Amino acid sequence: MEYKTLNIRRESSELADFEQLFKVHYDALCTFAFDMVGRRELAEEIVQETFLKIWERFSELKIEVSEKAYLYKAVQNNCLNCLKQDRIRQRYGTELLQQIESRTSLMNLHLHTPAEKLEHHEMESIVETAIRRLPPQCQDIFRLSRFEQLSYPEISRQLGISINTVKTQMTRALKKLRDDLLPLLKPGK
Amino acid sequence: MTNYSREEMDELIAQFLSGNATAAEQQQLEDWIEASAANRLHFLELREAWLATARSGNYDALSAWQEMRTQLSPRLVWYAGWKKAIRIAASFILPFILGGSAMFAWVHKGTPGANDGMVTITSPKGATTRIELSDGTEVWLNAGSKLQYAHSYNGLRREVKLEGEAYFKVQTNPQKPFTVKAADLRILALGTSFNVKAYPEDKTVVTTLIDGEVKIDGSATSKPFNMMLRPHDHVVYQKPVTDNEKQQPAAAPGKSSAATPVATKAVDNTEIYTAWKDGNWIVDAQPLSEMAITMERKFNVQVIFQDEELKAYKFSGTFRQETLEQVLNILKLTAPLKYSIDKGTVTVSVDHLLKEKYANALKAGK
Repeated sequence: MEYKTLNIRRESSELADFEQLFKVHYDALCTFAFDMVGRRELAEEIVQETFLKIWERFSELKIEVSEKAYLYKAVQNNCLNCLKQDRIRQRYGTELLQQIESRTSLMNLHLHTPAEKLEHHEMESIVETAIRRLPPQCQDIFRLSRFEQLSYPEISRQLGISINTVKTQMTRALKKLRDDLLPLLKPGK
Repeated sequence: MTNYSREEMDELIAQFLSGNATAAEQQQLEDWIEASAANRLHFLELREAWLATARSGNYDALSAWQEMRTQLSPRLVWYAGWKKAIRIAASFILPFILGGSAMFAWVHKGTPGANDGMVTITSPKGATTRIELSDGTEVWLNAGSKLQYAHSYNGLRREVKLEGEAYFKVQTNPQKPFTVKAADLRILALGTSFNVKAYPEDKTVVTTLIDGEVKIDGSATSKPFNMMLRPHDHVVYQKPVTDNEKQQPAAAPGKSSAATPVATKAVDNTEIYTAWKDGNWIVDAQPLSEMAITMERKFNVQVIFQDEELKAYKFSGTFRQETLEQVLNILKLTAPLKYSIDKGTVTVSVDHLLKEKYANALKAGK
């Protein structure tokens, strides 16, 4: 490996900018990375590593697209790279690692920078409205899965319903949300 | 495979997206997606909807930042341009240097001859450095410490030489035990985490085992010994007294020659010994004289005591990201000291007014 020699005097204002960037986007980026890899601690690791790389060339960094688009793209790339590291490979068994890898590639399949869509400030309220339109039980199940990250067995225990019901209702929620949201996710079409 | 109904596939997709699919189910889904463009499009549409509903995952940005910050070392300047020699030869079997602070480490090839084929990494005073070795072993190098290893590291052996303090998180490899040479000890580890404190100027080598298994090989010392450590073991080895020190009458008379040079105890809280790697500093009934040594390394300063009596004051507590001034001000809250800082020299002396005040408060409290 080779690294660039840099001749940079770190100003404290630069650190403050970087801190700001980190704090504003950290949570959302981890949430995104979590969708990609399905592991919380791995998601945080990926995002932190991405920021460390950004810091290394923070002062020469010229972001041409939006800040957000840049960060999402960087995290997206890093999700794939991170899984190639020996350190990560040794942490998970072969089988688990394979599953994580295949998840990551399925989640990345034809995924363009999600940021274009995320730039919509109204998006969050549109999504919330769509979720509210789901039937009550269906909505509860979806929220527990999506936002509390509970597993199907956990949801079934919590609500006192069968795992099969959880399965059916989750599928129903997902399809309804697709019908409601998809037209809005393709701006200009 | 083609026998799945659309409904079953949708269930599988929902399971996959929400993290509820088994490896086998995920494989089924993959096969199905690859089977046709229509299948793929169907999956992508449902996935888009799922991704659109993402919202805060309650990740703690604040503590993540504090953790990251220690790896950035803001007050320092990147030494670069300074020596193009910093370029690492591609032939290195090579330590990946990660993290901002690692850039402060001075990496250079040893001069041919004396140190042939050795890599030296130095963490200057005032900064800690995190290094990842080619086998994935992670090393945190405390301020004012030096780590050396051969270019061929992880070829036949995994061996490093330490002067100073380091925390090791060793990748498991039963075929090649990881060895740390510190003073005249060899510390052998399989997969494990442990801390070694072996500053050349210290009279001891201190090993603290966090988890895993570690063996200390003291066969090269004047009083040979061998010992296995268990997690939470804290082993203090007294280095042999050098001739210089022997001449000083103050050195513990006769004691060191008779007694075994090793003392072991189990400690409940190993964090006291490893907190430094996260930028924290925990003291537990530590005299100011010892704290001054840490301060000198941590903040790259020299500490001078104007009044000897201050050295004996003991403190307990945890410092997180405090600056030197903040640390001293905190100490001032419970000890009658005043300080001045001038060009990297800290002078501490008794504050007589404060001393009187504290004495009165103590009397009033009784």
